[in-house]
Amino acid sequence: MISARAVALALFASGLGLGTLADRAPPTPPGRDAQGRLQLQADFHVHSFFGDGAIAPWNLGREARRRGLHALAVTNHNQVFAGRLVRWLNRRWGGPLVLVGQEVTNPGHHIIAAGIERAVDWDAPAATIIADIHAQGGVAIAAHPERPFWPSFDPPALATLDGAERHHPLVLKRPDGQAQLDAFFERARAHRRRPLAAIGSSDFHTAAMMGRCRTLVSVTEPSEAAVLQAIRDGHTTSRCIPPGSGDLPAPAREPAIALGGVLGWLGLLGLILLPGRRRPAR
Amino acid sequence: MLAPGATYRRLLGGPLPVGWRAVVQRPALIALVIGAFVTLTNSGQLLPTLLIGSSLAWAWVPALQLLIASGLITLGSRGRLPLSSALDLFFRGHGPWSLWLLVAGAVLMTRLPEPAGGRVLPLLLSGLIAVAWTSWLVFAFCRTVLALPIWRALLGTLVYQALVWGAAYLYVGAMTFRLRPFSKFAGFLG
Repeated sequence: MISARAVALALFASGLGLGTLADRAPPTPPGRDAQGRLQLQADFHVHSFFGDGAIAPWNLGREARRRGLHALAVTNHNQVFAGRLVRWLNRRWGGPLVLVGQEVTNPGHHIIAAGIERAVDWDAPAATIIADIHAQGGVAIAAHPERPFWPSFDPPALATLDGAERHHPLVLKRPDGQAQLDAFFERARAHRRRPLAAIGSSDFHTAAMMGRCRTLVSVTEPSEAAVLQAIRDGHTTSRCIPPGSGDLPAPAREPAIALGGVLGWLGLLGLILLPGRRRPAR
Repeated sequence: MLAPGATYRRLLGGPLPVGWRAVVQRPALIALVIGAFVTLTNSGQLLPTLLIGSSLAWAWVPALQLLIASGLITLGSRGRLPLSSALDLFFRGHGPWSLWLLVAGAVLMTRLPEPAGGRVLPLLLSGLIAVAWTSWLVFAFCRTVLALPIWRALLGTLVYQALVWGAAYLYVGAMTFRLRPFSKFAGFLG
């Protein structure tokens, strides 16, 4: 007689088996833009464990690769420890390019600092934060610049930003989300002579997919320095990619994925609810 | 989980596991459930690399609960039971949170690859059910397994929850630097 708990274990193992078949993350060859430059797909706003992200540093590179990303910036709130760890691991494991970053989190403005080595003081005006980021050789990107954040970005800040998030999951949630991000982008462009990089980011924490919104970066070579220079030069385009595309499977619509997930879920439910066999004390 | 007092009395009347296995196996299952939550809500599947990596990363949560529970049991049990057996009984009460993770995971899985959106707040609020349910189970454990009088069992339950949720506040504050007093020390890790 097979116990119910054994059935639960078998269900969990089946889900894990199906997941094992899918657990591949081959690198996606980068494309070329109209000028023949390498075009990398990047997510410059990713949160990691050892922060308020759910995915551990030792898994982040692989998950980024699974989403077809060639580069990412690890941007935990007001600290760079996790970013440095992710970069160190991926340099050794041949993972995607990793920029050490920080989401400089201030009540009035959030700024992505990418390509820095030390955390930037958050308690300062936006223009001062941007100057601090530049002093380290990094780039400053306005994070999800919705209307409530606009007052913090005064003309000096707008003039010195390197990029602004023009595609972000909030555009998928709010009817006027895209309009707000577009309005900020145009306002920032009007205050500067050099280009402003259009950035698409997932603002990944958990329960979503990294790279849902992403940046296409045209670079001369696949290196961290080249990515940063491309942002400074404004050689980027941004977009949110539709669910069901190759890089963003939609489990609810794809039976093969759904089956593995459901089997594993049912198995875990059984393991939690069903009592185990009690062994006598030795 | 529905009749904790009676269940604990029944379990106390039979053989209880002892030793390191008794200490480790249920917290390990909790770590696995958390790891499964991460992989299911990020990919819709049980990907082994993400499951193992996430379980290892988040193992500190059941490890912390183990530490706090050990203190509670050591102070309250007066040696009635081996610590390992008492911990095994204690962690049988983790069902509400494990269930909440699975239910929340199922809700979030169906949304992928879209973000959770408006479902986040109702899901977080539903965690209050798990908080209340767990408090009931911890109280029953203190009354039945540790044989504490009512007021000491209440105190033990309050202290356990305060320590666990205090630790959660410290973690969120330290990792996001958005809560006091951590906002004053932002960047010390970097």
